Amino acid sequence: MKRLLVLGLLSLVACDPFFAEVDAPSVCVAVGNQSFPGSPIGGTITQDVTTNLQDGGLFLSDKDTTRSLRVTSARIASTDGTDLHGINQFKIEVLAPVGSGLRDITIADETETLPSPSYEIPLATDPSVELEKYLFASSPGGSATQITARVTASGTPPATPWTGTVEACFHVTVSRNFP
Amino acid sequence: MRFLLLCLGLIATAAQAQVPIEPGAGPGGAAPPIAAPAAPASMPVAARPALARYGVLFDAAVPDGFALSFAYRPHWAVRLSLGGTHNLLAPGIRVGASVVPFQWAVAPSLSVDAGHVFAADVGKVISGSTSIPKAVDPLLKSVSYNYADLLLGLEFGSQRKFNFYLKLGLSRVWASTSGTGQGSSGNFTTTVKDPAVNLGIPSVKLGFIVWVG
Repeated sequence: MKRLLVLGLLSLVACDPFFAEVDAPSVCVAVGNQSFPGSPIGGTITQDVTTNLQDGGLFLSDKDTTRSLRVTSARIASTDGTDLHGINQFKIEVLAPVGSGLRDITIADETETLPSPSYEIPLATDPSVELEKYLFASSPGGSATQITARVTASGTPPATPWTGTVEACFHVTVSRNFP
Repeated sequence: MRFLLLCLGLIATAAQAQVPIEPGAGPGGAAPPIAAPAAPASMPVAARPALARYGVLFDAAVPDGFALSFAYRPHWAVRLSLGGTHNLLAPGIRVGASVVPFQWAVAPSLSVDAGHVFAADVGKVISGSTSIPKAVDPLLKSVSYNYADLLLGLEFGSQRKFNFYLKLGLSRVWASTSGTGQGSSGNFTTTVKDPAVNLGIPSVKLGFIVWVG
């Protein structure tokens, strides 16, 4: 009986008792109406996309929270009917903010040959890549929630400019302990 | 916090007193146990009424809600309970176990409860709140949660017929939602699907037990 009591009391004080944690396994951010340049002679095209995750009401900017942000899936789709099958390599990199000491990191890519026609390219992702540092590195105070991604397509991209949507889904965890 | 410290002090002091927690040998000695295996020779067994094994308890608690439970005392110091709850939004079920190691008029207790609250539309309650983004509304349509409570408390009154209690402690809450929230801003669309919320919160419980047989 005494052991039970002691164990109970110990468990009361052994851990941080008061906390809140939100675990969102699927937070998808789609950036629509993105204009991509055409490439009449083939080669490589790049386009930078900046997104602010605070726009989604994720309450990520609180400095007292602990966060995790891992990409789980990504895709790009043309929204104007442009056939993307000529693209044989597609890559999304998260760009490290200047002066942050971080390196640019690839979060999604695709090197498969696409059937014709293809209006959407699903990308392979690595869920072990932690992006939390990149999210806040653009602000010394740690309050910004901005990420800039560079989209690179090579092979035989569409010859004329086209419009598309880039979507990335994340596993987001936000937690905070209270005194 | 003072209440918790008081309970901790009471239990710790009693535990250090090295008094055996045996039927009929509790430090209070106010009420004899059920099924006492051996009574002191100086006290006739017939003069020691047994404690009731079965009872009904009602309490109001956070995060449990209101609970009406069947209580069973397999040992004079141990109470088990099983019952239904309602938090004004949804019903639930709860099981619990308490240790009340002393038969005093005011006795400390240590309790563990665990329960499940079925899905409810939480949005009905907080729909007027301006701090909740509209995009979150769909996520509140079906919220259920599991919880576990660890509580220290004080029980007042007779443990033969009726006693009431106040307990304070900690709760872990594992809430889940099934729904999709979506918000747009300019070219950005953010979609959140089936998030879960885990909480460590203070817990409080106030209630009474009627022992019936």
